Amino acid sequence: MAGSTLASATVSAIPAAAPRVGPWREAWRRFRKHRLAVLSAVILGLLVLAVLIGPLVWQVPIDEIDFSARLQGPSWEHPLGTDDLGQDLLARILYGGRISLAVGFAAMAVAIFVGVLVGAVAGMAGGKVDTALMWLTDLFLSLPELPLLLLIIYLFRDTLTGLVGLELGVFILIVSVIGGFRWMPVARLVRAQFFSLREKEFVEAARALGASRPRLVMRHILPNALGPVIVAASIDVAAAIIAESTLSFLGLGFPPDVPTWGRLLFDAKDNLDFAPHWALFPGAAIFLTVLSINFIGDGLRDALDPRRIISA
Amino acid sequence: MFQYLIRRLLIAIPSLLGISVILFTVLALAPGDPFEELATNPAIPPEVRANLRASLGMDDPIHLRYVAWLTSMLRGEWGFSFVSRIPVDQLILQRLPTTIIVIGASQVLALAIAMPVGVYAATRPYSLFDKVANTLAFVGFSLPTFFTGLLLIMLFSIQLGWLPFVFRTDIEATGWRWWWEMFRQSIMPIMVLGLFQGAAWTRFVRSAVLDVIRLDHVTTARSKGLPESVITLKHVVRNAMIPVVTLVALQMPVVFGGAIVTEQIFRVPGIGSLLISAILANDTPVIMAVTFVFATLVIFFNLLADILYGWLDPRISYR
Amino acid sequence: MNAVAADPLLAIRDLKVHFSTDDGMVRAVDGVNIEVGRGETVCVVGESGCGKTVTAMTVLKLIAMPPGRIAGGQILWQGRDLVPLKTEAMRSIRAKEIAIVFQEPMTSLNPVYTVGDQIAEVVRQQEKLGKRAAMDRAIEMLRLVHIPNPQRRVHDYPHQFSGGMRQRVMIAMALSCNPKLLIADEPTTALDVTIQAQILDLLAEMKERLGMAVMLITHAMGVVAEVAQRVVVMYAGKVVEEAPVRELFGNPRHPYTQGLIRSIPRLDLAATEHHRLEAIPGTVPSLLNPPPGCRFAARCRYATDECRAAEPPLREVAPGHKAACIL
Repeated sequence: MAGSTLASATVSAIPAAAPRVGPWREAWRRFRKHRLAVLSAVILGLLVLAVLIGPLVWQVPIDEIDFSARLQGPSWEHPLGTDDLGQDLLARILYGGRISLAVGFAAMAVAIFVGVLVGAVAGMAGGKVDTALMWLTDLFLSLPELPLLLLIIYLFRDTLTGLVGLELGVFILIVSVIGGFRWMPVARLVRAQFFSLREKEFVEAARALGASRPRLVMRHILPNALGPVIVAASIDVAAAIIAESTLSFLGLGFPPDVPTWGRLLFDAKDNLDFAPHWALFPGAAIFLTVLSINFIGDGLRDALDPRRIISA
Repeated sequence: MFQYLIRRLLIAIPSLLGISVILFTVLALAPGDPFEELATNPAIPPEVRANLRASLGMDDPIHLRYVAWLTSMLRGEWGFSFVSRIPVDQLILQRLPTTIIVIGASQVLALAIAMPVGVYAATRPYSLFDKVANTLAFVGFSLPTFFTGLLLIMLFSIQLGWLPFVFRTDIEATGWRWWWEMFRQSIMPIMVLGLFQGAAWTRFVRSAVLDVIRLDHVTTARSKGLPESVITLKHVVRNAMIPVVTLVALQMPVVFGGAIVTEQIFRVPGIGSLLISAILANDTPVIMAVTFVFATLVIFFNLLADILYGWLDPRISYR
Repeated sequence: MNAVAADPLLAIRDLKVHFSTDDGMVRAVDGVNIEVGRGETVCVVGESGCGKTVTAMTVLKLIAMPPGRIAGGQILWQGRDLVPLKTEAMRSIRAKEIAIVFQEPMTSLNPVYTVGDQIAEVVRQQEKLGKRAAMDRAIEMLRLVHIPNPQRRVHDYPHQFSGGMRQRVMIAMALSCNPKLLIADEPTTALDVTIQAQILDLLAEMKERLGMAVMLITHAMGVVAEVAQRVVVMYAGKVVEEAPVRELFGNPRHPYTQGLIRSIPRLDLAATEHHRLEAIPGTVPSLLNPPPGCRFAARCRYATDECRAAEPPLREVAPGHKAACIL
């Protein structure tokens, strides 16, 4: 369709009419238009609230074994049923959700930190440093994430466990490795922002006024790169949750007694025929969390990144 | 075009080297001796262990060890599996075809979904079809492969009893019957991978087509009086394929990850399930080799994508 | 010179094109009348955003619908109204009867096909020629627009041509089916000044040789003076003045036209001390909620209360000369 016509016909006509609003209010206005994103934000909020407050309200221990109540479907006593040891699934899912969400957000933080760092250094330095860093970024983009994840966890699990304890050790390992495999799109985005903004007038002006380099980066360039980075961050949370669940599902994530959502599925998969609820509830929890984060990401893209930079 | 090809090949070599360095670094940084367990394993005589150490140059300085390790990897001397005592390369070659077939078929399925749906949705943006397709695509790539696999098993194997949920290599049948059984047991693994990738690609195709559809040359094509179908296929889809190829290449690591999970769920005897069982059995040579093979495959597919890209976009190959 | 023939090739009657946007309805074209006679060159001038491009694109129904919509009026092509025509019927008009050349030669050609393929494509579609014959026609057309070495260049891709050369290719493509009307939508705006003149010369030469009518959309009065027979001046979605070219430059009646003419840089006057290039103050009003009365009133130095109260109609002020101004 003739987009060029439309642009020339409307662009010149609109500015006079559109009221001036701040960029964040404008973003919020656009985000609100994405109904599924708003709904997803509400659902994710409820999920986060549930895993934070839930265990305080539903005070059933996650490891109370009750052989008289094995593999039961949902009931008043056990709203989501029980597993093969008669442990309460609602309590286990609420607890596992804390870990899944914590891993998701922490890994995202690692990815953003590394990505912003690499992107900023490449964007600021330019030249050979930039070429080398971008080569590294491309290299990391073509690494097979899951096999390497498995390999690293296989090789390093015991040492870290010895250092800081089993659960924390695995948590640190998983978060840093997942984050370490997801920083590349952010690095590219930040670098691209640097290159496009470096020559812009206001940055030139700031430089002319004698602003130092770190100051320039913090005050002028990073805030401008924020929109696309936030969008990438939302995708990272979802991807990290999936990655952690995958590891647990393969039996290679957290130790067996930690009921992460993936681990629950791993335990449930051999009992699909007589206890389908055991797999369905944790699976649905992962699905719902990831789906709502993805929709929020889509809404954020509409709101913050109108140019729709595609980042894989 | 030939020059372009050579250049792409040359660029792939440092990437492979880079990956091998990363792999080796991980291995070298790993605490302890990966072969330690052999010492305590009475089934393995000390000579074998010493040979293995020597063949991998375990006692040399690190850069020499890297060179030695790389040459032996390149020469196909990948050592022996601790568990089955079969040479690792043989083990991998046995299982690689299955993985390639499952991945290949699922990618064909993914394309068969993504191309028509993505293009149709993009030519009618914000229509009912577009909205439904978009929502389904989100659902599709928000459903992790391991959960889809379990759901399919529940539906088709347990509830309906139509499909077997364990992939068997010892089907007692010949001729058509054998092919039929192979087909039946391949459906679910292929569907799990194909639906996931299809959902992701639908979004890529849609957004790429949407980007092309508003370009000036499409208006030019319309001003020539061409039928809409020709405009869509020749002037929109053909151009939109260029970014899609890049995005698909970037997805290859994800595809292999999905293949590992799928093979594990359905016990498909590919290199993915080999990797998992090797990790569970602490079979270091197999783990290293399979990881390296996965990395090589990703580079190979990237190279393929580059070649396709050059073929699709004359501006690249003629430069 | 009698401006409008009794039986015009193209007659745009009271055309209204609206675009729906987030902020409301934009009346991009609001009751426009333009006629083009056989073999005539008509220039449509105005600032960007005045609706001239939308008008041109609407003739071939190339605007995006939605958000665009033809809200009223007729587009009479040899007496037949194109507005109610379905896409199928429209296709046989495009390129074959009315062809169009766009502003951006850099993006108007598809980068993944050779220019020969793209020219041959039109010929094969519209004249049902075979592959070889269509390719021969493409070579012939490239030669016609003075592209050196056409046999070889026909196999080149657009990125191997310069901007001016690409615009020649676009013209070759537009003329390949011998249209009766060529619409050229700012064909020189994106080009270097020296190339601009070459393209204008080429258009004039083609018109001479092939005898088609030309509707040239431009914002440059200098171009108008050079090529037009008749001129239509548009402002904010409306025609404000229409006259044969000499009459318009000699006796402009609308203050907006006068402003446009005064804004042409003149070499002969540049040296004299008292001459200053004049710009028209202000900007084009919003087409979202156009003010009542004359749309130019806010920028017009002669505006009176009468101007702001009611819209002045387009009326004949001299034979073949119409203006929408009460003065």
